[in-house]
Amino acid sequence: MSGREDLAARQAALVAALVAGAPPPPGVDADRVRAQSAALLRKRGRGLARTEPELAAALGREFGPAFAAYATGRPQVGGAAEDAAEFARYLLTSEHARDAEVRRAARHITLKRLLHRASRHRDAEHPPAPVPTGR
Amino acid sequence: MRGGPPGGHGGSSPREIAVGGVGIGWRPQIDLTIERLSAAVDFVEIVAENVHPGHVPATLAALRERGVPVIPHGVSLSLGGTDSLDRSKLARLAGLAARFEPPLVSEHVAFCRAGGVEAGHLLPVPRTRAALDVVVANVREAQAALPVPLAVENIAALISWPEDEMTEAQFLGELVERTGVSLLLDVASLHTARVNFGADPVVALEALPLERVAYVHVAGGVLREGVWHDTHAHPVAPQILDILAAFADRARRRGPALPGVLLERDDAYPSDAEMAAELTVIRDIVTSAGTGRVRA
Repeated sequence: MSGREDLAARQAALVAALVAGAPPPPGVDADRVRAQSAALLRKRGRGLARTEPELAAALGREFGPAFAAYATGRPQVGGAAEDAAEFARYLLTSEHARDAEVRRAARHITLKRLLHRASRHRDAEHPPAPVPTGR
Repeated sequence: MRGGPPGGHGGSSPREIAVGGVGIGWRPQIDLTIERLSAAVDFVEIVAENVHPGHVPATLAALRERGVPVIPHGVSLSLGGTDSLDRSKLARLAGLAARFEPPLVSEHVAFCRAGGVEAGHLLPVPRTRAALDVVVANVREAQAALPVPLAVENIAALISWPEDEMTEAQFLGELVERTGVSLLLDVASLHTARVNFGADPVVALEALPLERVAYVHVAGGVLREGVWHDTHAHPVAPQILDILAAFADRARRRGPALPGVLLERDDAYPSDAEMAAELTVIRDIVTSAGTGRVRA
């Protein structure tokens, strides 16, 4: 392997250990990998809570554990809004869905995401007409 | 002037200095705080990923109108990654540079994704020859795509690689030498390296090419189970301010002009009064640098 390929493999192994539950790369301190992994999870959770404060409020003290259960070993795909929609879907099939406030907030997010996708799909098929110029 | 005469004797100001004074990281959550503290704010920085050049928030546009330098700061370009650079992220930085006409833009010596998976944060590059070659190539590509100079920042890491062949100062020094890139020196990251890896910040300051420092970052963090987390959500610790003072003393020896120092706060925002107090402490350190005056 070239130096570059080696580097790519080492970096991929670290990222997999941090966000996808893979074992730490050989030679890298496992405790530090755990600490970094936990820090990444907290950062991701804060980003999601900022994007969807109502869901975070509905979960209250359950937010941390619920988000950790959802996100551990599940790398983020896309931005905080996509992450929130995935989390909401997860919640709706979990015990948290028994709480009416959580259920309502989670349904609202999944619906919002569907509408967003639909509007993007529509825009792609029917791009807006060019804006007429003056006169 | 609060600090008395500058201690530096002769020597021209390094050309790398991009901005002077004291700055703060502009965030939408504290835009009004920054507006209220504007007399104490000489420049700001924006997170490139969070500001679209075509939709600039009114409070930010107003700052720029008044002549306050606005520096775009990228956090996800992954200059230390082996994947090719994301052209849209480069275009965003270039677009913001066109919109705000800053003296420079900045990014990190770090990677953020690998193997098609996003880490969601800045991760340290192994300090090997092979990795240095990768960073050099990426920095050159970024420089070619940007209308203004680039500065790169040392990150706060929790993890280190067993294959490291160089100190961070050596790695950054070679990167600067090979690419001509400027440095954004994060003194909180130097403290993080001391706590997490036993790297002496003064030794780092002695080894780094300080004449290439364009500006400086300072931020608070927290110690959890013996590991320093650079949270940007806590007050700046005294040990970090001491590193800032040590840097400022060394920089002052090169001439009266000092690089600007920017406070980063990203969460758990304090009151205006607390924010103002932190900016004042930073300004006092910078102003008194090189005078031999001991900080209270």
